Amino acid sequence: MSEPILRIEGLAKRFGGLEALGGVDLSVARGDFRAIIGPNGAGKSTFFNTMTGLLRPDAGRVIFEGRDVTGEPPHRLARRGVGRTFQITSVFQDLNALENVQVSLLAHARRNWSVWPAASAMHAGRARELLALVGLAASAGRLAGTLAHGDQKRLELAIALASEPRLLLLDEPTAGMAAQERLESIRLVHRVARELGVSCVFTEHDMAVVFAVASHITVLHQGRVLAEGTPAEVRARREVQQVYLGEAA
Amino acid sequence: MIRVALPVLLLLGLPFALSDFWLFIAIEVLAFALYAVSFNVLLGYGGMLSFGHAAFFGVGGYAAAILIKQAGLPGGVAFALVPLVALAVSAAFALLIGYFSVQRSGIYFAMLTFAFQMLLYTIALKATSVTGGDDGMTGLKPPGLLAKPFYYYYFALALIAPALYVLYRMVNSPFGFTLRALRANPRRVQYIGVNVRAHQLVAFVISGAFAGLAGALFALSTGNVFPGWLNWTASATPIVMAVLGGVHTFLGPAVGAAVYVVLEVLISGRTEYWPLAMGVIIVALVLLMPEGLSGFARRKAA
Amino acid sequence: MIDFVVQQLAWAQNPVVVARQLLAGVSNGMLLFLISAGLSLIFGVLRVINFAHGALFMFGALIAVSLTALAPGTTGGFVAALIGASAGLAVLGAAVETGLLRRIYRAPHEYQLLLTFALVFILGDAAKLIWGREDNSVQVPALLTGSAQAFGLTFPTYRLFLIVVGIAVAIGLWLVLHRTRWGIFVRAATIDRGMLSALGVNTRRLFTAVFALGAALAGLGGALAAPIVAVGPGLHVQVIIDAFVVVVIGGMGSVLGALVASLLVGIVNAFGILAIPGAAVVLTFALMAVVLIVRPHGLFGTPE
Repeated sequence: MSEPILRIEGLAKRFGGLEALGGVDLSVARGDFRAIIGPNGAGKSTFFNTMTGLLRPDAGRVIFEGRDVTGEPPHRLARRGVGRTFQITSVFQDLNALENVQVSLLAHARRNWSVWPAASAMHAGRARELLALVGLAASAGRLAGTLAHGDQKRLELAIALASEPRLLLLDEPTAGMAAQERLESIRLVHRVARELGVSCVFTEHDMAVVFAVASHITVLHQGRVLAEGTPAEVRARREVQQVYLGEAA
Repeated sequence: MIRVALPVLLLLGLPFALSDFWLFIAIEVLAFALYAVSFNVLLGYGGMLSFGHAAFFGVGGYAAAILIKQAGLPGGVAFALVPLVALAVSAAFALLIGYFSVQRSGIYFAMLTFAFQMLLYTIALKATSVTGGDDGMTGLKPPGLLAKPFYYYYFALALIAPALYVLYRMVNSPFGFTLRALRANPRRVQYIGVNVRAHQLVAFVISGAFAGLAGALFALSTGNVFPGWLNWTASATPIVMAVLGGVHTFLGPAVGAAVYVVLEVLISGRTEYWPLAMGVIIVALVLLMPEGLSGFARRKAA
Repeated sequence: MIDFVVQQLAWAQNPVVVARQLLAGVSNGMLLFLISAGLSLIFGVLRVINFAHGALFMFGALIAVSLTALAPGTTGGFVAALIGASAGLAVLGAAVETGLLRRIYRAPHEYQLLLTFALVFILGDAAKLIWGREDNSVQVPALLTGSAQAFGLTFPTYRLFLIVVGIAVAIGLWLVLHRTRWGIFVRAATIDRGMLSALGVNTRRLFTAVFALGAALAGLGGALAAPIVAVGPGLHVQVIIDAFVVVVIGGMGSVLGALVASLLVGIVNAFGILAIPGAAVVLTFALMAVVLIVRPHGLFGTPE
């Protein structure tokens, strides 16, 4: 198991004159629960978007499970086993919670092209299991758009997990939550990820959250990696303290 | 059981209760119901607003006409082949037009469908030797018994009812489900492994094919087809019918089609200013009853 | 095959023909500019595709018909027609925007679309009711009849006049958009509407004014076109098609784009008729499709 599940080499992205990513290197081992931190504007969302093919990288490679997947469109990457959640919660508003997960299961089972059978009963059992896993069993019949913010985030997690990803990318998974809710939320993700054997990379602002669950931390600053290592190691680095932790410590 | 049996009996018994004139109207309603429901696959389920759907209705009509008048086949054979040929030809055009149109979304997608429809309109006007040009094509009535609306009604029903059923199965299938998710959140749906363009294209082709079938059946009923079917103003019709009946239910657009057709007949019978009346109705609809008739009915029932 | 092409292009060797077609193309382009500039601005600011814009153009032409009928062939009558058409359409545009469009800005696109479609039908029939179903015509004012000499060639004076007016309007629009405070708001609105209202600009009045301006331009275009175009029912359906092509090619929201694309389309159509009659029209739609696929924001529009 020496091959890292995800390897990023020199990923770069410019927007006109702005260098959003200036060559990012990253290596995530299987089973990692890696946090990516950095001040606003450090390039975290751009990093995820470029990594998952929503944006074309100007340079660099993305290697997932040993295979070069640079620039592959999101739907193909998803089929390889990479899942993602969004900073601004992204669920299927007009469908109910159960259907949200069902549609993800259907796609994963490659049945999204099936035009004849009735879909409403398909994968309902598994969908309920996943909802229960994230604590939404009671909300199965509610329209996703009517769920509370925190519940929508959980639903998004369930949708992502339905695709049985081996790597899950979470963009600001605790954004918009109160402090206590944030810790609960990230602990849920951590627990579920460990149960299902999913490696995670997540971006985060709240240091309490990061230090509670992260196995490794990568610090981004102005589009480049500033520091990397275990939480203790990163905490001790002077540059990190100056640039980032100094604000919160 | 009653809820299904009653409408079915009504549909089957209609020819015995209506005059020839109103049977023609009933046939028109059937054709336009299929047209509107197929259009709504794109709008209500797929979230894709097309400005050019009349292109396929028109293509279906012309395909039927050209098959009957230009293909040199014996009368009966030509008519028998119309439904299949209309489906196939419309599907082919929808594949070509759809392939390019789904590369864009929103307003650009809509303008692309508009451009392609106008292209077809121009061809219909200019290719006089094939399409009859400005005069259109006439003499398309089916042979024998089918020329009478009493029998043609059942012929149309026998094709349109199964077509609607196929569409019904489709929107409730995993494909239809995925389409709805695609409409709800086109970005998220990619991350569960769905190829958005491919799904939109398939929906576009199916929708176009059935619109073409509707056009062909209507052409045979009236006995003619005109280039005006392909002018851009014709693309308002499916949108009006779908919104009128309600885009959030499967049969809403069918209801809208029925109301639209009947209104047109009643109003055109009294005045030549049907467009004015239609315009006013649309304005009222948009400002007062945005969820259409089914939405309105549902809220009254709640 | 080569012979055929050479034959079709034989006219290119005749400078008189070329000059005449060029003039026709440019002057038609100017008319097209008047209608598409408004259409483009309305889309850029209000984000509405005004299918009824052709109807507004037609109303301008019909108002000109009525006003010039009072003093046919005179300069005074003609000037009155131009002013009357522009002002009348400005009022009509403002009424439509405040009365109808304003209510559906937040509605799904199909509702906005339906509303402008409805206007096409309503205005089309209203025109028939008021002005009848026959083709109408306007006499070119005496001052502008005949032809003028330039570069050893003869040009119809009215067409030269159209070009002059078109340039004047283009310059006027440019000045308004780039040299007045209001113009800056309009240009900002095409880029980011939300920001504008956050800055305290009364966007409601801005929208009404933009729609009124667009309508006035269409009305002016209609009045100017009346002497050389058959003003009859169906004009409003016809004229909008080219306007859409222009707006797409030029870029939705860009007045400069509307100008460039209008001239382009006008000239291509003028020569296309000579070269391959019928094919020119097909070409414009094909071009429209290509632009939408390859560069949807057109020549000068802002990419989204």
